[in-house]
Amino acid sequence: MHAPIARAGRRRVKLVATAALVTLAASIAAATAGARTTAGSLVVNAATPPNSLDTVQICSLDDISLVAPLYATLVKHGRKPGREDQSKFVPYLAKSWTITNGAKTYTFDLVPGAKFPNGDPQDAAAVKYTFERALKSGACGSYFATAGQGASLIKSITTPSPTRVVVQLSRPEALFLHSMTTPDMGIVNPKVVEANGGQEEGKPNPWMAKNSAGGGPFVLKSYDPGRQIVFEANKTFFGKPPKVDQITVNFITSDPTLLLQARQGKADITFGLTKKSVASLKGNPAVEIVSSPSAAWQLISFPNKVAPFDNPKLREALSYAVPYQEILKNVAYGYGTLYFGPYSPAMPAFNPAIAKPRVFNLAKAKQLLAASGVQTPITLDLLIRDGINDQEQIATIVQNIWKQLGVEVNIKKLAAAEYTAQLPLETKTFSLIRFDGPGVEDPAWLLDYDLRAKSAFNTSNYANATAEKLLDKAHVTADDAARQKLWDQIARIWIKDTPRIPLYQDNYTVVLKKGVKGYIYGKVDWNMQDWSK
Amino acid sequence: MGRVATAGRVDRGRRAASTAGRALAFVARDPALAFASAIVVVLVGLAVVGRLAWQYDSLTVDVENALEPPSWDHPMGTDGNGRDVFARFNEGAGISLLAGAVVVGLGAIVGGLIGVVAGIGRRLTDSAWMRVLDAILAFPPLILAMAVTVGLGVGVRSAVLGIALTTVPYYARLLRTDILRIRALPHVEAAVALGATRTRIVQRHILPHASSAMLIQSAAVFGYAILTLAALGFVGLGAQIPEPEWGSMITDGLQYALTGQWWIAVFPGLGLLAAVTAANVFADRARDLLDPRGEIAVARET
Repeated sequence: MHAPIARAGRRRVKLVATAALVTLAASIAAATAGARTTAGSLVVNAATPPNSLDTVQICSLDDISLVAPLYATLVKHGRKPGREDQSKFVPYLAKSWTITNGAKTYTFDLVPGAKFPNGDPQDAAAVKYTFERALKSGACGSYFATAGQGASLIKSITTPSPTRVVVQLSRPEALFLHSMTTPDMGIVNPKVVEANGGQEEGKPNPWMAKNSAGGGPFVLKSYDPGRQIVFEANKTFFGKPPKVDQITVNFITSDPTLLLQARQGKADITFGLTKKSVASLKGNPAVEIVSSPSAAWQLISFPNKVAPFDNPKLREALSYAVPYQEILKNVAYGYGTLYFGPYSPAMPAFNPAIAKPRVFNLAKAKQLLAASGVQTPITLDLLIRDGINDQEQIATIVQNIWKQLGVEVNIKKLAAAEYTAQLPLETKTFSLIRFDGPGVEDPAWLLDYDLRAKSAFNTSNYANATAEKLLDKAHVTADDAARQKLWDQIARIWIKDTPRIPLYQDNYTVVLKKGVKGYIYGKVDWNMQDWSK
Repeated sequence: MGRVATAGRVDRGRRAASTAGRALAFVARDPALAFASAIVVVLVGLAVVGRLAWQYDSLTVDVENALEPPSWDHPMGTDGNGRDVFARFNEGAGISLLAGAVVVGLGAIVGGLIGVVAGIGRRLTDSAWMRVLDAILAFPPLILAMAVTVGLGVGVRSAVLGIALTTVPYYARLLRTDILRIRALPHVEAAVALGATRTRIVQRHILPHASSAMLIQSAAVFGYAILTLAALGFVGLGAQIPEPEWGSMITDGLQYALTGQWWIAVFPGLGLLAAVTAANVFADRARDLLDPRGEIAVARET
């Protein structure tokens, strides 16, 4: 009696089951398709996650490079084969500019009609707001806004029209235009920032740490702090559109995992592999290793203000107790160059006759230590940053050797944010191993933060009044030969003082999956919009 | 009188030798126990004698000879800083075994005291202590150990204290349960009726009976402590640079695994495996031996 109803019921069940199976199959297909990289997307693996996305809070070169695609700057550096050319400037948000009034007035004419992704105008008012915000931040943004010269450099910023910005400086400053290329001066949307906490004097904005208010070639699709950033092509970008629709940047602090993924072709571009891992990929037909001498170096800083490290003879002694060749071979795997001086070989001011590498000589180190008058044992806290694998190795080597001189080194590994927070401390009571270099490869830029006693980013609290006077003179000296003489004098003073130990100049190494195009070496901008495959 | 005292000493000596002989024979009859015992003997030997006798120091850096594979000169190879892995393994064994012993000691003493107080005390006292233990047990042990370690400042000492804290509730509950059971036994009730003090009851009647359970627990805790210390070292909370604790050695070695230098992580990993396995075997066998309803006890009675 109930047979037809039962049959109808069974048919209904079959239909539902079939529909479910089809849906499931389609979902799996969609998910699988999403997981594969397509020509429209790239997967990037990087070892070091940023500690913030806020342009005015970030200082390290890697952090700045990660934020660069989200923001447009007024100008960019030029190009030469395989790398940026920091001797040239090209238009970006500013389609043209003039420098007048004895190089004290900069007039920028902006690209008309440029907009932020939400439709707000990316105009002169936004540029002015960006400057003001950077100056208020009290962090790296303040530094970049003033080319490291302090707030007194900027006399005024006016906006005579929506597409014209006039910056009046209190004196000529050759580094000013360079600082306008750095993503720390990426133009922000005032309305978005103000709607999300604004900028208080000297305080970070928590919203900006995890979001974007920029109008660069990419927008921030998603951000999982410490794990992943996904950039999506900005469809309203005023400039040349990116060559891919999406770039996913995964942060993988484990070097073995980074290496495995590079080997298996799971990442199109890999940043931050240790040199050991890069060296192991030599000869691998599936990848290409790009190695670029960079004005960046591994250094060990000393707390120059704190006894007994205020004793230059002690510092010199320790500098002879570092096995530079072994470190270059076993930590940098040969991807670097040895030198000893304030500027590395990749910088224009480098003079090989003055900045010859120091050689490991424990006997000499002991003699200098005895001559210094410092009584051992002494202790030293040495800070390293988690996620930068080479630093632990260097710290261990140095700890072991300096023990023989009576210097007990306590190695402290800090998370990125905590490590970065130590950098601008007024008095450093610790040493740190730092991978650093100037965002602009100009000695004046470097020394302004690295040598001036009052600079918050003088990681050694180094102070030498004579050297600072020479730097002041170099700022206003136009002739290159005369400037070089000043740089040489500064180098001699610095080498004698040994405020820190430059371990080696780094060759910046990146691993590209075969077929990836468009990567060039950039100091603070990876130029992601040019990447494709 | 002197002859009786001497005879007593000789008699005790003979009994001790006889007990040791029986223990050895017992171990020899059980292959798993024999293997575990051998592991312990080897590890203790390496930790004590190996550290002193070996030609290389666990901390000396020799970058020129970094990443050497195992050889006669370096039986476990060298690490990324040229340090002898065998020397570091031996020192790591010492750290792990000592940490295990300290955790067991601290856990047993503190947990035992709480268990006794709760077990022989009034209902309110018992209830209050059980709530405290419940609060500790509410946290996953590893998380609690990590929190304590971070709170006290990272390092082996803090890690050991953190791990010991996580074992206290287990010891306390174990002893409390045993005490409640033993209290109800006729001979204990008789002792109470005869006016024995609480202290005497605990010392003469309760602890001897509860000791077997504590021993079994300790064997298990020993293995747990070594493994947890390694886990904390693995995530950077335990031993700090350059201390050669097995967990941190494994972390250091992992970065070399893919580039072919397998020995840096594998040897401490094997050490960990051996130590924890031996501890677990001891715990199992201790339970079999000391459990009055177990096969061995039955075999002895018949």
